[in-house]
Amino acid sequence: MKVLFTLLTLVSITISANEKKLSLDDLGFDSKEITISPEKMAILNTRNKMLKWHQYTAFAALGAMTVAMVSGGHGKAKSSHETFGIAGGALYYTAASLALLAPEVDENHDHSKDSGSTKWHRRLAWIHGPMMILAPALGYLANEKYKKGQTPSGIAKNHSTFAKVGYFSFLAAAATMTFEF
Amino acid sequence: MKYKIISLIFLLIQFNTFSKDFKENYQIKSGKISYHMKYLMKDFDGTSELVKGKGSCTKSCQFLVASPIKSFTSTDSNRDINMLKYAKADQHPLVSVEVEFPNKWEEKKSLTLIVNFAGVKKEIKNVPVTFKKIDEKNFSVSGKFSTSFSNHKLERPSLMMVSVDDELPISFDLSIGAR
Repeated sequence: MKVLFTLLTLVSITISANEKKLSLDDLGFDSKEITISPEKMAILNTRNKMLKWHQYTAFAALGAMTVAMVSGGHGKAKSSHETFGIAGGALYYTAASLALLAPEVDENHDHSKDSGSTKWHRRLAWIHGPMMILAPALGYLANEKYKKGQTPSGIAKNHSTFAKVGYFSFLAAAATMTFEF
Repeated sequence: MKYKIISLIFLLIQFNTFSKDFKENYQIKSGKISYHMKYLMKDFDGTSELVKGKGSCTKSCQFLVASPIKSFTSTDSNRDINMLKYAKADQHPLVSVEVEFPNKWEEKKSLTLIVNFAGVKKEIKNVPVTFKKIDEKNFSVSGKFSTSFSNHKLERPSLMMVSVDDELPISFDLSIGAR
C-alpha cells in the first residue's frame, strides 16, 4: 500500500510539473505576421516627423490664406492681402514639400490602396495643388495691372476664382485629417 | 484502509474532478480585439482579427491571448502605419493578455487580466467578462476593459499638438474551442 501511495504521489507531481505556463511562442504566430524590421521603423520615424511638420506648416498656411482671402477684394490689393498671400503660399509649398518628400514605409506603396481620410486628403491635393500654382501667379499679374491703373484681363481676372477653389479644397483637405468621416 | 482513503482523497484533490467545468485544453478559433482612440475632434476604432491564444484548464484555467500590433487596422491606412511607431511595434510586436480563473463555469466572471503592451505588463482588475456556451466543447468570451498610454509608458499620438485621450478602451470577442 505504501508503494501505491508513493506511486500516486509521483504521478501527481509529474502532472503538476506538466502544467507549464503558456508562452507567446506556443501560439504559433508566423514571424512575417508580427515583425517589423528596424530599417522600416527608422523610415517610419522620419516619415512621422516630416508629416508632423507638414501638419504644422499646413495649418499655418491655412491661417495665412484665410487672412488673405478675407483681405482680398476688387481693385489694387491691400498690402495685408499681398503679405498674407505670399506667407500663405510659402507655408503651403513648405507643407507640400514635406508631404511629397516624406519617405514611404513600403517603397512599393500603392497610393490607390490608401483608405479613409488619407485617400481623400490625397485626392484633394490634386485640386488645391494646381490652384496654388495658378492663383499666386495670376494674383501677381492682376496686381501688376492694377498698379498701372488697368483692369486685369484674360486669365488674370480669374485670380479670385482660382484662389477660392484652392482655398476651399485646401480647407477640405485639412478637415479630412481633423474630423473622422 | 487508511492508505486507501488517503490515496483517494489525494487523487480527488489533485484532479479536482468534482468541480472542474472546463476539462480541456483550449485554443482561440477566431476573434476580434478593438481599441478605441479619442482625438479632440474625432474618435475611431482599430481592430485586429488576427488573434491567437491557448488555454489549459486543470485546477484553474490559464489563458494566453495575443495579437500582432501591425494587424490592427482602422479606417485610415496612414494612421495605422503611424500607430506602429507609437506602440513600439518594432521592439514589442505583440500585445498579449494573460488570465487565470477558477475552473468553474459561470456566465459572468470578474477577472484580473495581465496586459502586456509595449513591453510593459499591467494588471487590470475586476474586468467583467461574459462567457457563452456554444456546445460541449466550444464557447465564446466577450468583454471590455480600459488601459492607458501612461500605463504602458507610451507617447500619445497627437493632432495639432493636442494629444489623444490617455485612456485606451479595449473590447474583445473571442470564439474558443477545445483542441
